[in-house]
Amino acid sequence: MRAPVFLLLIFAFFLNPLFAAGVISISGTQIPVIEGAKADQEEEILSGEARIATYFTERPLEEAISFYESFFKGNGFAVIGGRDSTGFNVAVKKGNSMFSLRIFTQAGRTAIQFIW
Amino acid sequence: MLRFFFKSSFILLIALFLSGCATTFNPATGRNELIFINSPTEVAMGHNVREELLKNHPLSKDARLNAKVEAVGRRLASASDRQDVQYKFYCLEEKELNAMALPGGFIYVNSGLMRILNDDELAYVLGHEVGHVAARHIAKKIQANMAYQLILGVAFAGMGDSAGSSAQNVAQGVDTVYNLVSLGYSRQDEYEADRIGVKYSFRAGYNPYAALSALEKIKKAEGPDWKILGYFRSHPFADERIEALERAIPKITGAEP
Repeated sequence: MRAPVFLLLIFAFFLNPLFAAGVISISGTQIPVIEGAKADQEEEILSGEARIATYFTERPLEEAISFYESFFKGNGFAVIGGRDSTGFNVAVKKGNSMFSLRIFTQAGRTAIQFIW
Repeated sequence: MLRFFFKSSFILLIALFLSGCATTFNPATGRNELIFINSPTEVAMGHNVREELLKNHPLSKDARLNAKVEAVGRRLASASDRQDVQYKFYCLEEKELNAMALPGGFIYVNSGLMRILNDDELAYVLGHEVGHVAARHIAKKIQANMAYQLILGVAFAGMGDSAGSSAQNVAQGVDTVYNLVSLGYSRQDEYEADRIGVKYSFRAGYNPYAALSALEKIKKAEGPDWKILGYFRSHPFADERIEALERAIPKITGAEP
């Protein structure tokens, strides 16, 4: 009885990578989601020409920004943009994967928003 | 009735959700707007699109015109509500009476147009193009007409790891952006750029009524075909724009409440 339940859980985990702890997959590239961040609803917008996924965390803005600055630098991403008045706003590229990332404060929490 | 209520509430909820997630306030327009293309990406796109522009439209070698467009442009740039891009002003050696703004604040005026305008009138034309940049008309038009991946492709053209990026796709993307910009904007965006342009030229110390004389001069210079040539092909609805500006200028300058 336990095995099928366990298998079902594993299956559910891989069905919803967006909501799995730890990563978001963008054009085949696994991008870490800072620990503790919870996914908001993924929206498809502009008639399917762009997707947006937003996560919220209680971690401070500066911590989230430093996390992604280090990640992009340490993993060979080309970066356009950086810190701005709202927090952090970049477009990044590595291989086939290109996306934008915004990190800002909303309602007292840190928002991490991917657009691709 | 109930169905209508639920449908409207659903649409409102989606709109509120989206507006909470990604909108930013634009001081040039006074509105919260949903724009995915951030300023550095817009500037990177502009850099790559200007390469395309300059292949077919050479920069002017006239030192007087270059000095004038830079001097007037600098004052307009200081007056803009949008200061997160570095506005750059250039004169192209082209007879056609035209001006355009590329993504990221690159503004071009043709020598043919500069030669018929005085400084105040030039300030209106440059202010109008700065207005398009400040109001994010260019970014909005691009994001409404291009896939987001293609937009990023244009921004990253020539950068980073290009493995897997089709050079042909990127070149097509650059062409698409250039064509979108060349074709001009909606009537609403043109009116808005006119108002913002006059506001900025007035703020910069120029005569706001020069906007009217500039448009009349351009109409006269283009002759009977003014509706299909040069400036008004890409900036249409001249008579309506002149009328709208006549009403708007007293409010912009504070002469009327």
